[in-house]
Amino acid sequence: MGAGFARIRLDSARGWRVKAFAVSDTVAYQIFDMLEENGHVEVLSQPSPEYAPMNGALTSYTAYVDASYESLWSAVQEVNEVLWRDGFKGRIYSWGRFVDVYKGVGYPADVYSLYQMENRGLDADLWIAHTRQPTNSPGRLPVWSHPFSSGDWAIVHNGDISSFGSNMELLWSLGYESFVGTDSEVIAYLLDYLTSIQRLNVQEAVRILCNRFNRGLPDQESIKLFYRWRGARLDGPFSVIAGFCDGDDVYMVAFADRFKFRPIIVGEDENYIYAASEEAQIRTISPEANVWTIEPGDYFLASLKKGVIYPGRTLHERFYTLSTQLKHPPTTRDCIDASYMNYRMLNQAILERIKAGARQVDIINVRGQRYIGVGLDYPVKLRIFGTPGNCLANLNKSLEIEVFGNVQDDVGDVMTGGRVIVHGDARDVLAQAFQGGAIYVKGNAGNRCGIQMREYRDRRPVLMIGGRVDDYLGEYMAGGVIVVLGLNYLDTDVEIVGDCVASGMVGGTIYIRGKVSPRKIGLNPPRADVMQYLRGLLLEEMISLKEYEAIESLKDFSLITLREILSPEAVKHVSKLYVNKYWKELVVEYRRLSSSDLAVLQPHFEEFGKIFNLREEVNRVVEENYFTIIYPKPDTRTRVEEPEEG
Amino acid sequence: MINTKSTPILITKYLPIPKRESKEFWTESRIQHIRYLASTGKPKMVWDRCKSETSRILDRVFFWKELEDAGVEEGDYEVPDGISVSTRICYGSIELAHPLYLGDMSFGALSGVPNIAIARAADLTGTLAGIGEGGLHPEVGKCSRIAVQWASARFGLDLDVLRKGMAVVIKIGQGAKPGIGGHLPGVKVVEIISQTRRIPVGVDAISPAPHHDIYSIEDLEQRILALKEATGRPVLVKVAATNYIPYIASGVARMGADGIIIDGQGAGTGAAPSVVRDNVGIPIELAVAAADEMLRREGLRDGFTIIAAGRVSSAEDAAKLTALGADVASIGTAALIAMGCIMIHKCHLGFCPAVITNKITDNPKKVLSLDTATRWVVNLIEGWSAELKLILERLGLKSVEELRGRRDLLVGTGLSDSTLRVLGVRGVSGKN
Amino acid sequence: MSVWRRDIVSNLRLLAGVEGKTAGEPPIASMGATNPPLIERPLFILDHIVSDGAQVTRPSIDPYREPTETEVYLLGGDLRLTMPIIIGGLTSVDAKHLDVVMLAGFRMGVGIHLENPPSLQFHVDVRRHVFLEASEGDLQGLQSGPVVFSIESVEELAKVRRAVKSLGLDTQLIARVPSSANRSLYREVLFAGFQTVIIDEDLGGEEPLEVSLSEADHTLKKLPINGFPARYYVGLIAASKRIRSSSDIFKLGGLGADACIIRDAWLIGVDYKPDIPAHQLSERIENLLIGMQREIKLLMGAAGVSSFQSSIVGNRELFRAIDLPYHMCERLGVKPAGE
Repeated sequence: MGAGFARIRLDSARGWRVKAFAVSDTVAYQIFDMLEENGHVEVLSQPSPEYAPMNGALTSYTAYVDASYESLWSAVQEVNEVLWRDGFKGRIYSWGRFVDVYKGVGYPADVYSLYQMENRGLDADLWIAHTRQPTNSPGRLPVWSHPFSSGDWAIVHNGDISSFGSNMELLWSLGYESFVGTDSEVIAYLLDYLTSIQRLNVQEAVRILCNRFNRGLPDQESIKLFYRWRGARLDGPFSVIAGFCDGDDVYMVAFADRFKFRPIIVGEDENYIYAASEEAQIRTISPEANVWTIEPGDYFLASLKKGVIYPGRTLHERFYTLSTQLKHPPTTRDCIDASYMNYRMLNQAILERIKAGARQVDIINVRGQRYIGVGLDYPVKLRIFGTPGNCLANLNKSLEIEVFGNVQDDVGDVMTGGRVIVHGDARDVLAQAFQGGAIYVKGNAGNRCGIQMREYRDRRPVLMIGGRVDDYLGEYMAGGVIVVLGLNYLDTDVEIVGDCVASGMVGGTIYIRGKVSPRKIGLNPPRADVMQYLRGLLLEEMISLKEYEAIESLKDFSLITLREILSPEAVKHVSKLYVNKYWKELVVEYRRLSSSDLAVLQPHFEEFGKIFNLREEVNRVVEENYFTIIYPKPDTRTRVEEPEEG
Repeated sequence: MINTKSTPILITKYLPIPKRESKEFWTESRIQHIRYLASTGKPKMVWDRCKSETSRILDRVFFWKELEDAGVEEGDYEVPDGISVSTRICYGSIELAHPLYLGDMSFGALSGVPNIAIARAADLTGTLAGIGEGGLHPEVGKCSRIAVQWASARFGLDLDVLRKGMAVVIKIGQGAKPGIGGHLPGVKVVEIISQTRRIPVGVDAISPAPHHDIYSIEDLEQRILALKEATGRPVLVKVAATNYIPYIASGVARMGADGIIIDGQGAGTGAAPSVVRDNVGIPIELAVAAADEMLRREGLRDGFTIIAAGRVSSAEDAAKLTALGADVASIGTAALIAMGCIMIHKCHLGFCPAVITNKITDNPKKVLSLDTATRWVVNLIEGWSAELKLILERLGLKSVEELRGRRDLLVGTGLSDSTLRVLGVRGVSGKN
Repeated sequence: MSVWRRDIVSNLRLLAGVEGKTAGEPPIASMGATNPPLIERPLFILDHIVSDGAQVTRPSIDPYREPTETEVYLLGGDLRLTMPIIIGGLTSVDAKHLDVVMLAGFRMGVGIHLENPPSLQFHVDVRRHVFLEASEGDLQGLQSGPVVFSIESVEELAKVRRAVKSLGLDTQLIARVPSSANRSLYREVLFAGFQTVIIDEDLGGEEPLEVSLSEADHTLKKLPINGFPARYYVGLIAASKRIRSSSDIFKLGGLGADACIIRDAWLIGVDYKPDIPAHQLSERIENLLIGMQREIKLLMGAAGVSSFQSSIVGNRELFRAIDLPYHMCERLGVKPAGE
């Protein structure tokens, strides 16, 4: 267990504030002596301990030094390398003019009291806090705690970077010699190196690390930039919150990996800007903030002087319109106040009410408690006021759960019956393996909604979303119905779904209001691969120049588009790039809803409109709008010989 | 049970073992030995004589005692008295009469009768059988010593099913294909499969490679706690043996799981891409040694169960894995061999000549005799345990629990310095 | 034990569609593995190396439903290959088939290494994908594009350097060197204006390819050009007739190769014979390459990686050595399994 804080403050710096952990005063003095021995660093103050040293444990010391960035950087490398080699007696963990890091072993409250932060009168333009369960490092020493810092950057990270080895190789080749061995520290070093040494601007540096998937045609300049900085690109799951001060302004950055495997959420109210891995954390400070999520592989950037510079999402101000102005209905008098309850106490309290005969249980002040309703198999209604934590309504059979607020990840996992109503937004992996009942979300939902939804016998789940969704909608979907209405993006040209819609879909139907770009449906090969192949066919005169140019001029195409342009013979060839033994052809229709669609959907539209007071909008959309309707083509399997089980 | 329209032929005998075309771990002598145990329920050897034919790392690890014991042959051994092979797992909440777990083979990978035979054998012998990911076969559901699996696709699961077993297994990975999912084409989803998996007949059954609700150790904790909350059962986490296995094991222990099933490289599978099976993951002996070492260092070993899986072919293999730090060995392939598998590597084609992994239909022509198959597995477990007792006797130990973590009893031959260090055993040159 | 084990040959032929009915699809197997180091002692260092499987903290990626990028850029970002493969060994191919092989390779977006270039003119597009071997004498009239010089020593480089001056500016220089530990050669080669290095075990050299490749990668990383590690300007390619499979390519990637030149592997895979019909040859090459690309994607996805060039190349941390001695692990930069 580790925790820590960073504060970044734009003020007249007193030189570099260097912080080191050391096992004794003697070692602390040695560390600063070694810094000075480098020849280009002048130590301005004696190292002073930040808290009373504990027997045998590392203590944090601070001193101020005067030096150029480059001299201090190389002196820190040398000193840390020596300390690492000589058995672990200490380490410089932070050196910045504007960044100040406090970290240690234990829970955040432990670190807070260890440093007596209450008495320090600390203020800042940006605060970052973190707590962690160690995964890839044992976590017994404070050096493994977050934030990690380099120069005037401080970062906290959640995830496990699979490109870690490549990133380390780049840093090693640039002269970074000493590492504590976590994937998180490389993020701080990379960002600092790119901005302080290579002088890239914050946005460019973060773009490189984010490593977003190419959506469409990459430009030559981006290719060169990403090629050159391939060692700095991050892969695998991560979400990062970082702060930086360049002496003129303070920047706050939040970014997520290209698959958005880790949660990240940002928010804004009148006074502050927030970023966190769970919404419940922002709500604790600001119950009324507008919050939104970053698109997969994108980043959020704000600064002290400029406010939100880049929101990490197209038309983000539309994103939260459906989830704000929520009018809470009055709660019953004997409601449960969840303020000081953990999930067990909460589920126990609910069970007691049910056993006492309640048909409806109201719960107020819900702030991040997980597993609400799990294991409660009763036909009653729960009304939740606040932000419930992950795994709401998992394995739900018979509860009706109505949430006045947003929900977090993994709602309705393996839900086989009952109903979930969300008056705000839902986040990632909503309705995983959802197999019966209904889930209505008034606002938006995140990545992988409806993943492996399925139906069985008389059970046919319905997932209806009022706003927009991100990537992998209906991945591996095997049954049931998903409807995405995008009511908050009416009259804009924003597509209300992300990439890889219906990838691996084998059953069920997806309805999406408006036109969905062909390349977004299923998984398509890179455009460059297809054009290369077509270029080859052109050289062999299997397609004509006219055909080639017709395809090249398209902004967006899929195998369906190619079939419309090319000869069957040419299509047969190029299909190889699209089709594999697991590939299942999808039917994509673009039309108004038919009476047979409405036979299934109309009751749900009516409920949805009534519950969320959106009758007029829903009716208008159903009557006037075209929908993209996706379902697997029956019996298109190319080969059937192999079961794959294990 | 199996829906029989015409009476199928009952299989009650072993097939001859075919000649090998390429190198094989499950050599003819290994198969013959397992068949002996399965037929008689009696011990045949003390020290595993088959290991000289293959070159796993574990095959090059010996008990010192064996080197001193030169000359001990196969024969009719009396099962020694007064040696205990029973053990308790999952913070003591499950007692096993033999230190064996019958590993996680699903209905779908196996064709029904073998699933039932394994579950019944677990009941009869007081061991524990993992049901795999294919949902709960109705006959398997009548057995009590089962562990219900929560895998990425959640086939056939609901609260009632989860509460049917003695434990819940969260399956994260498997040794034969770490990081790879599964896909059963729709044509194979026949009525009985449809019922157990709760998906319509004819629709493809896909198991995603990862759990899309578990992207971090905290997420895993969330799932462990949610399942405990829902079922009140102990939770085991099954992972493949991969690079970071010591950290994963310590993470799993910290997150409140009751144990870990580590599945090593080269373990059996119903179907896996060859390129992954052959190149991903690390051997179980290294993984167990490394995980045990890390758990001890972190003070997490007590009360936490390590189940070692992947090519556990004999009581000696199990004993060596125990000495390297495992609590229980998992047998999968060995149980299949006991039921007649001749190791022709054709499970994925659906034409298993031993009708163990043959394609499931609603009207099969041949089926394995359930009584025979059950007896074979029961005998295997009893014969295996008897051999384990013989080994313990030679080692001068009174119980299998005394053997746990006794790396000092082992020696490695012809192994690299790095391997010996990970195993924590001394090396000698020579015997190879 | 032979280099071309039965299972390896069969796997390639299943991919190419010479055997079986699942051309282009990664072969499926059942029950436990039967390859070294699990059953028998390995022949090559590559056989001791295994890749990571992502789990718990790192989700794996499903390459059939989720994007995985196998493309690599070479020649400073000017040449995009759809996968880290260059077809070589064309000296073994009948002259009438050269065009077929090159067009199939071009369509699939891989590179083609021509050791004995015939005096034919290439289409300008195809030329960009052809790594044309040249000796210092025959540079007249050479179409612009990548040109390969085999350089075994620093002395040879001087001669090549003179020859190179007669080449056009848009010619991209590639040095092909033996599999040795000659660190000073890399330095000289780069200062002579070469931007890609092929380490070719078939040119000889005293080190196994795995070792010389890994050390070249590290040498180039510690060699600064304009204050920046040379490795990130230059491409590094591994070549040997014993590169047998997509897993070999994947592991060599981990040891630092941006791409590999395959020779016998594809010839054996497509069951090349001088009388093979052109369309069949073309079809089999396509199938084999698609299949190998899918296998690479499976290995990437299993390791939780979605980009070959940025996350596999040189990412030794993703790999582990099974039963290799410490001194060899250190030279490769790969940790022993379990440590």
